[in-house]
Amino acid sequence: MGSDHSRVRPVLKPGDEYRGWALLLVIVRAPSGFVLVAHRWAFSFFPIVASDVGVTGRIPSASEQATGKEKFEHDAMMTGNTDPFDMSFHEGPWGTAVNPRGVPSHFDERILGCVCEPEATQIIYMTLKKGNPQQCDCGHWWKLVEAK
Amino acid sequence: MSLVYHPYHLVDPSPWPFVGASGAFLFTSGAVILFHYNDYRLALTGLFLIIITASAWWRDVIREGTHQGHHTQVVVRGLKLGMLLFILSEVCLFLAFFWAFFHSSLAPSVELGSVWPPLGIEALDPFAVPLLNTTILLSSGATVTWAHHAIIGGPAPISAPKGTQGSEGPLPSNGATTSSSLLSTPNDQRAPTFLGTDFRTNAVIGLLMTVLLGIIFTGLQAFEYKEASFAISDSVYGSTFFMLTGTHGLHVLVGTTFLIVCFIRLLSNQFTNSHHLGLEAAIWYWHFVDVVWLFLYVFVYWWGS
Repeated sequence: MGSDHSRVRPVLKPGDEYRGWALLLVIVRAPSGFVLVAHRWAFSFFPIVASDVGVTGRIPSASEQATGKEKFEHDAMMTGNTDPFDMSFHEGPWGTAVNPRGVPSHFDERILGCVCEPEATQIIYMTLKKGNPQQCDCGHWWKLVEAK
Repeated sequence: MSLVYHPYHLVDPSPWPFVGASGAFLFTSGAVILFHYNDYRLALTGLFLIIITASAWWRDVIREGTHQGHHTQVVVRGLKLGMLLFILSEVCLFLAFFWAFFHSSLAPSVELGSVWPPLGIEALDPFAVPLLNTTILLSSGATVTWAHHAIIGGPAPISAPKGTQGSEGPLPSNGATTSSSLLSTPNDQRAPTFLGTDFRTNAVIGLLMTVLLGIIFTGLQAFEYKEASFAISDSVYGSTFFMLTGTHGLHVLVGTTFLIVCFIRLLSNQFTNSHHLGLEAAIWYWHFVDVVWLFLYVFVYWWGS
């Protein structure tokens, strides 16, 4: 696309043959300097997480570093709770009108899916509201309880 | 209600999908204008938007994950799946170009002289710079594994946090109240060392060497391109050769950038021994680029010459 394909080579001046060696020296010396500069640069641009808990000279662990929901999940799992967000399938005794199964919720209602019997091939969903126990189509009794 | 009681990350509205799509559209149409009218302005605008989107979007992901703690295990699983599917789509891309290469080279047409490489094409010597590049990429795979293992083995053994449950509500911040019990690790729990230095330094050196090897690879490829006696317009050999090695070279550039970002994140202590998804994704990507190069070397450089 360009009209002129000829290359203009620079004229070598005395001393130019040493430039290669100077470059090599820069390459050899560069890593340590680069690490220092990059380190300072990274710390000035990126908010430091690890320094909040004083981690130096080693890789931090999730216990020290994690925050927010990740920390909540991590801490719960470290203390033996394998299902911190209550996501798993629950099995349990049949709920009765007198003694209904408690369903924890942080809200006024929770959507509930019931596999009524072990052989059931479908999940029956219902909305469980705060207040009196409710019965699902297959006869189980449920009650919304305050989640801790 | 500010607290949520589920592990999923419901993302905030973001301009980046729109800006990225606009950039991709402008870059595509700009490339057509560049090829046909030699006007690079629209292509550069699109490229600029794409780079802005990539930088800012992943900055946002780092903020959401590292600094806001949205990346729970189920979110991490989704991100991993996304990265693997992305790499799978990249495999399909390279498969298409390899298909073109084998289509043209396995039964070379009479216009090429019925030989491969075509008559008049002087292929590059596979046992010169390409072999060196193979060793460089394989070595970079080793150094990145070194860095990864140093990060996994990084911290000193820490006892389980005591009393962090229940006292501060369900979502403790990363503040002093939570970490006070973690700070009091006994003095005899010292960080492990390797090669006379701590694991963090090992990881820094390993990752830095990987990045440098990637840069050297790119430099040698640029040198090869400059020295090649054929161009992309020299028969289907030039087309497939530069399409394959060029696409691969672009991926090396992207992978190197990805690793540089991981290097900076490592320096700012953002990776923990159990959660360093950005680095894992970068390593997967790097190994993918590595494997593609092995295929390129064996079939295009070696068998194809």
